[in-house]
Amino acid sequence: MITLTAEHILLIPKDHPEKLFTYDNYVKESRLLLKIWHPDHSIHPQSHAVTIHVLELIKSAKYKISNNTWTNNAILEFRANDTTYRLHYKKHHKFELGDMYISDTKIIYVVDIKYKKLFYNAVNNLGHVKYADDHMKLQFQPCIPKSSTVYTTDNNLILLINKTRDMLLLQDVIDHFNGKLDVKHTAWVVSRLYNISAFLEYNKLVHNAISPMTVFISPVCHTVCLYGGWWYSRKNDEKLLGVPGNLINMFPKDVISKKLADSKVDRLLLKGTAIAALGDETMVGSKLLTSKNIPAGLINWLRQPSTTKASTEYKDWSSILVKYLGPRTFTKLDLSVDDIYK
Amino acid sequence: MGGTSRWVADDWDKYATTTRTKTTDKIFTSRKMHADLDPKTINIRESRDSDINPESTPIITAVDVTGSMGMIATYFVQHGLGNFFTEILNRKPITDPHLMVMGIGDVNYDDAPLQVSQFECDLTIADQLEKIYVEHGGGNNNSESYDLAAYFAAYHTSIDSFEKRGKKGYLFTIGDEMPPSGTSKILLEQFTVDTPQTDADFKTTLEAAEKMYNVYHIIIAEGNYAKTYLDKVKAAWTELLGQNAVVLKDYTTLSELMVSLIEINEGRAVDDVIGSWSGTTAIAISSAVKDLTTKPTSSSTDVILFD
Repeated sequence: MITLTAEHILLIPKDHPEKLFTYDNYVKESRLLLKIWHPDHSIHPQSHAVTIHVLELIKSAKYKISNNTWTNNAILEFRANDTTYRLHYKKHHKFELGDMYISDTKIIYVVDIKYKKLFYNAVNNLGHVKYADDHMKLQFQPCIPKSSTVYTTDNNLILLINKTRDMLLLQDVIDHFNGKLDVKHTAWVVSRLYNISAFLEYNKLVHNAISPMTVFISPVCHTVCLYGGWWYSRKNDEKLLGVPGNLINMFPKDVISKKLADSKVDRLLLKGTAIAALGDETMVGSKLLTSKNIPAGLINWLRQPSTTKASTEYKDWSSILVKYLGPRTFTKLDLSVDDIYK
Repeated sequence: MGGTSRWVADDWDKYATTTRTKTTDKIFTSRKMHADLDPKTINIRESRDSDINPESTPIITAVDVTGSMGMIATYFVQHGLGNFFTEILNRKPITDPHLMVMGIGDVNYDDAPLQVSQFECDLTIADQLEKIYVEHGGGNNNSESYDLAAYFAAYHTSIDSFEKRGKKGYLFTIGDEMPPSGTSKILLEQFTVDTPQTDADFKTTLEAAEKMYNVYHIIIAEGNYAKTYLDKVKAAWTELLGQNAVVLKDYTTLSELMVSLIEINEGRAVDDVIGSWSGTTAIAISSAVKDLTTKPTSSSTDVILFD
């Protein structure tokens, strides 16, 4: 910290105090910096600007700590079963049912108790996932939440899902790359999602919420997991409990009017997730029409409706990939966990 | 891409004074598909925000130009465009309208089953409308290719209203016949820039269009086919579009009906909308929209729960 130059400090955005201070020692650290950079002590031509900037960062740090939104080493504290739990997390997102916190080894969903039915629907469906054999279990068990713990507080229901450190929320990865992933990286995410979609079809389950906010990816292993959004999952043709408002535009009208689960929804959302990863967060794909880096035929295919089985569509996708991107190769995604969750 | 100027009422008045003295054949002088409107050469039509139209709202009016429906295109260049822009700008149910016109024929029989203008917000749209080849075609089937309008809107338009603000545009298809079942991939390849892998059935094409547009079909009761089979036509369109399929008994109030449908969709009470018109216009609009309900608004971040 002492060795930071004025340029380094001034480049830190005012709303990112985590990039300058540590959570536990920010008071001590800020005092030290002010002592070094205050114009009374420093003759550096930018000392005044640096001091003002550090003061802004202190203000932002105080706000984030008091609001529990420190994204580096914040702590989620809650009381359940007469015990106080403190969990460190690195990233926080709001979602339609409450809050999501991401730590190195866990995803913590804090759901408003008024959505109890959706919450226990997720827990129940996750507890009844079936595998045809050990091979299928080996392949797919890591792709869905396997070890989850439930807590109940006065106002919330809390679901803890275990994950490995390398697993990153797809939306965080997209944000890191300024809103768009390279088509070659999107391709492997889509291929893995089709595998998961076929597995869900085997279970006669419809997830109903596949999106960049529910999908996690490992750039290191090229693996994809569907950890979030299970609140809306239903058996095929079972009555829907609800759908996330931000995805309703992607649901076919007949599904909404009949309120019955239909597996084609998962494939539509899968394609929408691919479109979002490529740079169109609306999931519709019209924004990509002007893209020069994505083959038009590939965009067109992703925008077409899904009507067939997951396995059939996966075969189509595989041929589309070869047609527009050439033979499959492993393309390293230059991204580390620390780039995303500092 | 158009849409970087504004509608000027005086310009329209001068223009309409001339066109109102002409017959359909004198106005629409194209005798084949005009190159500017040919979807075989158009990958994308854009409706973009600009300094002068900072919050654009795209509106597509797809007009059946077959057989008995040629009068609709004539109506637009003589009266309809002026009425539409005057009312939409006065009533302001939406911001900064960008209008696109399409000509609809029959993909199985016609040379120009789909013709597509740019999105425009001034009198340029009239010039483009005049380029439409009024083929007076159609076939012996009982439908026209209204689905091509939805197909083009879904896959070949890019609109700032939706992409930047999550606000849908409007697509009106207008005609007197039954909805088609869809269009084969061979014909799509023949008339668009696409090489689709599968045929496009109308229902799924509509679903794709509805992601970016509020889609309506206006059945012209005065058309030859609808005169005989109105109930059947209404039932078929209602099955596809629900209350967004409406019957218009007086086509000279078409613009007022489009404005009314937009107002209702944007939240104005149906009775208020009907009450805002007078004379024969009020009668025609009332007949078309009286059974509609104003849609509830919801936040896109909410969860939608089912009972």
